[in-house]
Amino acid sequence: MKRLLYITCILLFAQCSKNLEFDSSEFKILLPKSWKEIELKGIDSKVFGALTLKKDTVIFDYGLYSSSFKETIKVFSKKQIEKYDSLQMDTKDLKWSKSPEIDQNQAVFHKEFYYYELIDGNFGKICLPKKDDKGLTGISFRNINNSENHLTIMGRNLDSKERNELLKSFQTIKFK
Amino acid sequence: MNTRCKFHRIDNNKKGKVWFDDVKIVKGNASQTVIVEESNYYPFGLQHKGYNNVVSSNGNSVAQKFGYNGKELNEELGLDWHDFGARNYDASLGRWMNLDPLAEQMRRHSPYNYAFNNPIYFIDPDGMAPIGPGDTPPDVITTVSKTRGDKHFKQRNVSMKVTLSVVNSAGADLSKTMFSKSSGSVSISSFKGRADGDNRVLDVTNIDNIADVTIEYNVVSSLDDVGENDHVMMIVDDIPGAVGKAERGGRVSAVESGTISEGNFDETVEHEIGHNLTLEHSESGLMVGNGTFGNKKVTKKEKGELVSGQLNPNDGNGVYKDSKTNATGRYKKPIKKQANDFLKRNKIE
Repeated sequence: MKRLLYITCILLFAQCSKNLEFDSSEFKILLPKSWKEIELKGIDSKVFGALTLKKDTVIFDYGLYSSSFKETIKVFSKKQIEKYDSLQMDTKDLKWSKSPEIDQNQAVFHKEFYYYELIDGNFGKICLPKKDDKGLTGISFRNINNSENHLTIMGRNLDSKERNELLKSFQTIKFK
Repeated sequence: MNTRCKFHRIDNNKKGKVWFDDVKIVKGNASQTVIVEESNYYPFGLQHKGYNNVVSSNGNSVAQKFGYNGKELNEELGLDWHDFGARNYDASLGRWMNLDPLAEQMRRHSPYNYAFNNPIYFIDPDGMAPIGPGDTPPDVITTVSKTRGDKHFKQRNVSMKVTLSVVNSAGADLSKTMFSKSSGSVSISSFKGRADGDNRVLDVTNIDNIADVTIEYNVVSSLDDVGENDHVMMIVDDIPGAVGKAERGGRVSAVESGTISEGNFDETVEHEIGHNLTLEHSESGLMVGNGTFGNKKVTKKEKGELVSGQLNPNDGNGVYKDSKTNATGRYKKPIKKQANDFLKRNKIE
């Protein structure tokens, strides 16, 4: 009797702590158990959605067209800006600094950090907001297993807890 | 200084071209008008002294570098070459200074001659191949004007015209769609507006203005009726697992006929044309991938991608043909073969 109770408790505990699992024919990922799957129908790719506990949406886009995080920002010198102003060009949104080469190289004006991680044999470019709650958290795999397919997962303005949960989930990705 | 004004007047109100010779531009009130630049060229592009003797070096030194054919004159090393994008051109010799990238396609001509040695008849917008006045087969034609800036930052006005064959072999009723006539022209307003590009390899930033993206369409019933340089959109009954499909940066796409009754046809068409014109999926707007319709916004960065799919960041004023600039890419294989390969690859019947 005791043994039966013990097994039941274990099963119940396992059930309670079970993560939300996305298991498509292309990849698998474990998400926090408090998140819920949203049904989405992609126009021309396989798209899945997850609703976080705080009602933010994380999108999974697998196929030929998913985003590759191509943001770049040129940093100009003040002298260059003055020159373009004298040519009556639109310089309002241009970035400039006293050390443009260094600041450009360090991506000072970007809202997100970027770095690569090797996950299940594929390099994913991870995108992380510099400031909590503002910006994009995501990962982009290109040409998965040398195919023409890509996978991008992204959520915007996640709080630090959910952002960390999503980052941990990236590590559980398995490609098929 | 000649202080007289010369007026030219047409005494009747009939429309028509009027040709002048011996035109003089004359400075009027010295406090109000200043002529800062006058450029005159021999047919091969070598600059000669003006007619009005009012050329001044007081103008904008950067803007003045964009001269013959709107190309930048590089004077840094004393070479005085014009940068046409694909090649450098020496107007004093009337010769290219680099080998023709398309030399194999024009074997009767020297790979260094400019505009087939006939610059009165031909132009060469980018250094790839000469174009004659009647040489306008359907294609993606990109027109650039009002170029200003330098080699690190350029602003341009850009217009695009895409020739699209809509292959309606499914016989779908297109009367309530953007392709309601047998042939016509539609403007895609989502693609208009400011376009921000940034090429870190070439170290050029662009803030362009897309004045217009026009689709010149022709509805046909078979791939046999498609023009060789056309883009192709096929209306099909079923696309496995999707309602549309396109070759990103390619010339072929397909849309399910069922999107017409669902009311999403036009938006799906514009989405797939966006992919053909190199766009990826985005978080929201027209290029979102998650099947959300109703928001057709395209960001400045995406519009910049559209432009960079057709132009080099350094391209200046001129007319650019996709079939020339991408001759070794998306125009290499016959379009019918491309379309059939696309159908096979995507398991579309």
